[in-house]
Amino acid sequence: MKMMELEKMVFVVDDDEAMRKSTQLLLSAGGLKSTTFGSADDFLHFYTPDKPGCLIVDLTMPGMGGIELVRQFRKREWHIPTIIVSGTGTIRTAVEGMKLGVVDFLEKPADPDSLLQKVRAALELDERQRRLASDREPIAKKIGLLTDREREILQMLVRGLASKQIAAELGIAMKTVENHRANLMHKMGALNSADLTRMAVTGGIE
Amino acid sequence: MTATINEPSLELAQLRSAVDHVACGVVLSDAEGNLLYWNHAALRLHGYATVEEVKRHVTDFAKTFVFSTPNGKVLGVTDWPLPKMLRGEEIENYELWVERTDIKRKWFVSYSGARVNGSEGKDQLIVLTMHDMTARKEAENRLHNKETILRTMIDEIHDPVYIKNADGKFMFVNQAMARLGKRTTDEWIGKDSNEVFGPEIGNEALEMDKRAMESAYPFTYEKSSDAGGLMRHYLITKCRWLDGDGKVGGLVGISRDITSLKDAEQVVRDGERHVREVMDSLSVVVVVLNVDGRVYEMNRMAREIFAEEGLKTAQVIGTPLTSLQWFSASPEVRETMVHTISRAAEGQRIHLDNVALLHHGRAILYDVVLAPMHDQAGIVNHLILSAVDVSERKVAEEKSQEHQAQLAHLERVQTMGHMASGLAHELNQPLAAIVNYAGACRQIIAGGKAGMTDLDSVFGDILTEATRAGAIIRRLRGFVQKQRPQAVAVDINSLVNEAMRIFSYEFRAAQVVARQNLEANLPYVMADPVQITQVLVNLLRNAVDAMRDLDTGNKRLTVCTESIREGVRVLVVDSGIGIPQEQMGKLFDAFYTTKANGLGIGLALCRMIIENHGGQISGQTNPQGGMIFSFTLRHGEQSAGE
Repeated sequence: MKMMELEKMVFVVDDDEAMRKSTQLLLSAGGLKSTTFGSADDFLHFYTPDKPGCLIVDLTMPGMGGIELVRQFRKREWHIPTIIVSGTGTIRTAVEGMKLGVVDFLEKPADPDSLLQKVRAALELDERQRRLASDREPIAKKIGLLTDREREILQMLVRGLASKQIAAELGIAMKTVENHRANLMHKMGALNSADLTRMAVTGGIE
Repeated sequence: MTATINEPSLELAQLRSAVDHVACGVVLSDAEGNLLYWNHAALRLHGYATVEEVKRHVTDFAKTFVFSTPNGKVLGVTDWPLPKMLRGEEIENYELWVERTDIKRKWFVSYSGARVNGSEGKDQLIVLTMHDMTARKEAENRLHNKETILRTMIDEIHDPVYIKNADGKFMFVNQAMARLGKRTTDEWIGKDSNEVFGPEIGNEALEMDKRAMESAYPFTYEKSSDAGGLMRHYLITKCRWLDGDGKVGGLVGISRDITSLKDAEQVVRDGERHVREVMDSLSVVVVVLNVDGRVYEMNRMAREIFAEEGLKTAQVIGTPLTSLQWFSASPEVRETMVHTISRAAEGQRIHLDNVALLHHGRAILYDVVLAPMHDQAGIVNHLILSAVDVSERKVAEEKSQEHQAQLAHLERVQTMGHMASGLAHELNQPLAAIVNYAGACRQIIAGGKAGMTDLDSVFGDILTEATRAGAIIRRLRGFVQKQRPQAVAVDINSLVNEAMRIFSYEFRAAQVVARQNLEANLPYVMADPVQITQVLVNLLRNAVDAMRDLDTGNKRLTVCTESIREGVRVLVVDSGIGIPQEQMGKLFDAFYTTKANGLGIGLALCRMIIENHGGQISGQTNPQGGMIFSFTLRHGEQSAGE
């Protein structure tokens, strides 16, 4: 656990040197490690998705700005939690950012405590996402072994339907549904119905 | 009652002696033509001294004498006076030219003859008496010549000349006069003006005749008359003439055609009037001086000024200009003016700025120019002084500058409005950094794990950022504050830096790569720093706007400075969309804009500011795409004066 904490890194992208320096100092005082970049391009060159951490980026910079950078993440299917700081944030850019999955908007000058708090939250999110991703991998493998019919029935179970209702909806015998369900439980290695549902959700079945 | 004289008492000797001495020449001849007796006068009249030389026969004189008529016809001896008498003809006042060829003398002589019969009808004597008429004849000839010359002269004179008698009737007209009346010279004689010209002209002419004859002096008047649609002008001079008894015999008149003269005079008068009207219409004081500095002429403005001193035009003309109260504002002014006038009289043109002259009881500033005027030979004959009241112009200039400054200020405020969000961001940077530093300090202190040196370094950073924020505010306040334009020596490079700093956020927001290419050690220029910064900001803004829709990476802007002969040049080069050729001409017009939200005063204002600084601004297409806007500023002004 302690080791994991040390590996977490706050990435700071700002064209203003004083902003970079002061943010780094604040994070350091708050016990957080950080790396700073003078432009979005520099960060894109450096970052790879296996690096745990979160990002603080200025909305307005010469060349690529904050929103543009987040758009690049989506293209590459990167999920690094991002906080955009801006002196001139508008509702339009905020909405656009949220749609792109930006976790927070902070107006400059931001309250140091709330900045630290939001950075910590972002780091937690990153951790959660990473844990989820590491959980999902074996479950997804098991789901891949299911037949089409079994996956269909699993989805219905996750929706909370009873075997009887499933049989009616699919137009098959109640007994057949029960058989599929038993196979499901076995293939997934589920302890019980609740465990099956948790695994299905973790594996991306909705 | 008649006394009776006893004839026999007179002795022959006595009688002869008397005849010898009479003034009239007497010659006696016998009936054969032998000349018996010559008295003294007769001898003198024929160029002889003694009787012995001439006691001969008349024909003996044929070789010595030539007799001719007054008309010059030479007579044969038979037509001489004595031979005529011998032939039995009578002669009386027979006037002849008598020339003695041997001594080359000539007389004009009047001969008369008589016969004296002796006793018994024989020994008839012929008596020739003669008078010397030479002097009279010569006088007559002279008179004749004189008259001929006079008549010829008068006839040949171009001007109509005529002589009238006391009744106003023509006695003589010359050829010119005859032509004027379309009659021969003879047809005029005995007629008066009425008969020749008709009553309309004639009556007036007769009236003038009368006046001329009443005066001992020539009488002159002008008369215009329509000659077949053309107006002719005559200068008529009439002068009475007196006869031998000193009575008025009539008048002599000359009617001189002065039409061309009149026309020329009119041209000159019109020209003079125009010059006068132009001079009077000027709102400039104009005084023409003689070379000695005395007033010769002046215009309306000058008359008004001197009228306020209580001086009439006539009192000013001829007065030395510098003696007038106008120049009494200070002794220096008068002294300078006296000196200036003498220099102008030497042919120099002199310009004096801000001369204080007294008007309305207070000193008013004039710009004075004193220039020499030359005659045809190029010699200075007058000086012309023109003085412009510049106090009003100065006020107007100040007012105009004030308006322009207000406009410039409004534009700056508007520019700031457009840039407000960017400027807020700009200011936020240091503030946000300060907040971060402060937050860090609190964390550090709360953690209790930092040394004082760590904190000191953070506070140093805080100070730096606070100062940076202050500088931004100061810069912006300087840019938008209202102030009187001032010309100070400025380093144009520092203004470029300033403008680009003000604009730094805009560059960032528009993702423009802005560069500087500034020549080091540029000369200082005299300029208002705020207004020049404003021009730069305007040009930067236009450049950024022109590049807004370009791809990131193609947005390049460069500001260059360089020194040129008259000062410095600043160039703003962009890589934007450029301006269509057909719009280039209107670029600097007010209210002309290609932008949806522009007022169109930006470039017009830039031009106004630059031109007020004595510089020039222009825009041209960049061969590599985009535009190049450039403006020049001049070196500091040389001290004003001559």
